[in-house]
Amino acid sequence: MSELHDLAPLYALHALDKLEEARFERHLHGCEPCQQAVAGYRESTSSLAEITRSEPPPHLRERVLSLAATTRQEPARGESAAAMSYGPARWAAAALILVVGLGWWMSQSDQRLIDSVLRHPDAVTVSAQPTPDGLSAFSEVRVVVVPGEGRALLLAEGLRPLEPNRVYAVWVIDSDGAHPAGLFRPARDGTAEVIIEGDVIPGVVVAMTVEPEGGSDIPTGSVLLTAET
Amino acid sequence: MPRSERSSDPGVDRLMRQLSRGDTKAFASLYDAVAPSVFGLARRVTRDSAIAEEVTQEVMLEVWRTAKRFDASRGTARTYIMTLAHRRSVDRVRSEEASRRRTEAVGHKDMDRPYDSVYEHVERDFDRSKVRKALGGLSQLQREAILLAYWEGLTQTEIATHLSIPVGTVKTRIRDAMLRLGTALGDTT
Repeated sequence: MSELHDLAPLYALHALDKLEEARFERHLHGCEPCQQAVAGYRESTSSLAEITRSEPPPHLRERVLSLAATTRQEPARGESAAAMSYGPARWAAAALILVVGLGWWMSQSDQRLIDSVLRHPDAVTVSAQPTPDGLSAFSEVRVVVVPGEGRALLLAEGLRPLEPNRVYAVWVIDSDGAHPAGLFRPARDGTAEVIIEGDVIPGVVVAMTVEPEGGSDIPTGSVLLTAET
Repeated sequence: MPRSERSSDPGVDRLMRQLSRGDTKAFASLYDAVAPSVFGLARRVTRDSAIAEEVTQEVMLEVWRTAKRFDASRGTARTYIMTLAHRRSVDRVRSEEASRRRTEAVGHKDMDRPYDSVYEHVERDFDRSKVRKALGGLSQLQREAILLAYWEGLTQTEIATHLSIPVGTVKTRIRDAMLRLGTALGDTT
């Protein structure tokens, strides 16, 4: 474990490679000394930002303030917890942040995003159907969508492990074609919880392929599953 | 390491609490307090003012959207916002195409000149001079390693390649640098 502790400074600088970052994050969730170390290092790094401070253009201020005025704030943690009793809740227990790799602190806010979708009263769950190529790729994949907001998660169980340098890629397919919507690797137990990037509005299809690490602009692997929203 | 008060910014923490009640006036004040830090960092990392504007917008709106969920027990609001800003900036330069461009830029421009000259040219005020002093207390190799990560958004593997040193050496150098920097910034004198 001491080897993992040594990664805390690099983690705070966002200087770990993706996989190492995911590994450290899993460790961090249960390691209080590392959490404190990371918090301390982040205070130092955010001080470094003072050196480069620079006034943004005035039009940006106007734009951001007017956008905020029409952007709804997400509810505080724990609100609408009653909605937890239905289906997808059990997936939340796995609580693995794989795709965004935003760091422990940030992963909390990812976890909150995930929770906010799972707990949303309007959330709808769609089961993904395997394609002929995907029959042995997974045991169960569901897509949870909040239709009015376009936000969605992909929840998977029994995913086939990947070769090194390969990742699973999520796609959102609409009338313009397939749009990249996130990359992830499953946890060791074959599960994954992935925030789907992009708007999952009614009518689009969510699909999954295997792609080289770093992803592709268009699907290059065969489609393993589709879910119609 | 106990959490120090060194980057505490009661103004920003207070604004964050007001923000969590949906106070748009507080958001305007928060923007004025932190946007220059966010924008400057994003521009430094991405080397592109237009992308830096996008990053600033994205970060500020995320702060607004998630304000009710901000957990003050994990650190100050300013540190939270700057961590988010650095992450989003780094994400931008790590997309494939951007990373190709960056490798070229890093190779041709700043890398041939030591970082010492970069930070000697910045304006001075109290905070900056304190940070500069702390950076100045590092060895040149430590400073270089830490700034390649923070300002260029390079990973430890990329830093090792860039400096032609083993990854293990990068790890040690950055850890020593971060410890020394933390001590220097925590020093209230």
